[in-house]
Amino acid sequence: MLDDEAEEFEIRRVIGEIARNSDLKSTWSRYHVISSILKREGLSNLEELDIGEASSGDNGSSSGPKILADRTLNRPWLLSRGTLLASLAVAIAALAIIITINDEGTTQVELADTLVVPDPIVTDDRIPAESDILRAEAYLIRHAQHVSMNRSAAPIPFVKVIAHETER
Amino acid sequence: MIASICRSTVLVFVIGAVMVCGAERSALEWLDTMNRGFRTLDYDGVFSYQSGTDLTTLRVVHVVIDGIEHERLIHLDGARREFIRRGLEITRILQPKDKILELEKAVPPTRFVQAFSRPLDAIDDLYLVELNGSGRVAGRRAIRLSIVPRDQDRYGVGIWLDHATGLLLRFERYDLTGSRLERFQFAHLTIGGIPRTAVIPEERAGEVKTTMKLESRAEPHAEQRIHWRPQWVPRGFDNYRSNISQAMRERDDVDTLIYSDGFTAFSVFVQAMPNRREVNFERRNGATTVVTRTLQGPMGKNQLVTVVGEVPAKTAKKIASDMVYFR
Repeated sequence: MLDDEAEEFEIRRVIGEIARNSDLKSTWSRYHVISSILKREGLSNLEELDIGEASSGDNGSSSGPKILADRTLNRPWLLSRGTLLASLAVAIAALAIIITINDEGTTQVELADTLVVPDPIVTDDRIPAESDILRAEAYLIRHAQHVSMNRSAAPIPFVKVIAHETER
Repeated sequence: MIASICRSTVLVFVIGAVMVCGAERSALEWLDTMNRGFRTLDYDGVFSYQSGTDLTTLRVVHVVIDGIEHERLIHLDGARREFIRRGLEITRILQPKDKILELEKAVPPTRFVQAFSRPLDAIDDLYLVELNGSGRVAGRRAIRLSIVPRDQDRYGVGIWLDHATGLLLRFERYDLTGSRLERFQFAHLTIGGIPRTAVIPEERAGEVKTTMKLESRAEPHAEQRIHWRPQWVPRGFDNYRSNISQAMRERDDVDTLIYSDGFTAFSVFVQAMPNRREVNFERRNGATTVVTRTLQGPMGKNQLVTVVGEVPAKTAKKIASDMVYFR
């Protein structure tokens, strides 16, 4: 799965199995973070890597976490210091794996299984989760709509809403 | 012949009077003219809007039909977005997977209630409003005004108004160090003679249409349902504290309070945290600051306070950190 080699049917079966097993779930999360870093996707939010949610999602996608990674990359203004720090911490962990792999010739899976990957959400409340950032952005839009609806303190109503970042 | 001379004399007198009035108009009178111009004039223009480092282009068409404002705002870059205003009703035309639609799912829905009744009242007490020379914007002669805050809890504003009509041609917001945070500026503008058809959107298949309506002011008993309020807001904002929007879903009730000093506004959102985590962070997008704080409410339940507005981060943080719960 992490190599993107598995068939969709196989992915769905494995996701379902992982979602039912908490040990497998946490292991999968660690693997995914490491995989993301190695692929330079910059994913850093472990809490959002909820495979149970991915398995029950109705968006038709075969990989929920991958969507989250895309969302992170598409939000430049929200790229937070906390997220960067967390990414850096995980990147260092991933780097340690690579070095170990090179030195000892063992497999990545065996090493990753014993590695304690930092969890930015659990260990540091100051670092917002992806859902916190989405919520903040949603409130930003809500505020702009309130002000625009009242035609006050907005030079041209709805400009901030309609100009809010889109695919360009 | 005599009649012709009389007509010419009257015309010269009227033009002269208008010019004298224009020259002697105070900064506050210009602001009042600007306010009325937005609502009463027919115009069609293309403008750019810059927020932080983001720059985008939009078209606005405004026509008054039978005393009702009709406005069309069209996003000219990126994904197609269009907002149509007819009086108090707004229709949004968006693409099916538009990010705005996705974001709205992240927070409970709300009603939009009339909040500000006197937009520019008492502004002189909060800002130093001065005429600041003249200029030229979108090929039109412009009067320049500077609006400088009298304290450190709000941003400064520079505006350029059309000399002939008072319509806003350019708007800039600055932080306390004078750095520009956001700007909008017309590149092309036609005032008057706009056909009614210009405010009718083109129908396209597959687009999502949603409608929002501005409701009348909230009832007094609705205001009593708000439990969380800021203990402190900057001077001048308390006069405009207005309304509440109540979430439609009881499970995710959100208290919403909106404040305006006439030139800037901020909103306070309070909702129960879905879990025991604490979330404390802040962001800025152009002139808009977002500050989130977790407070402990009654029964030990965490509450998430989010302050969003065009105010300095220091001000927003102070508001968010100084909330009080009323039973």
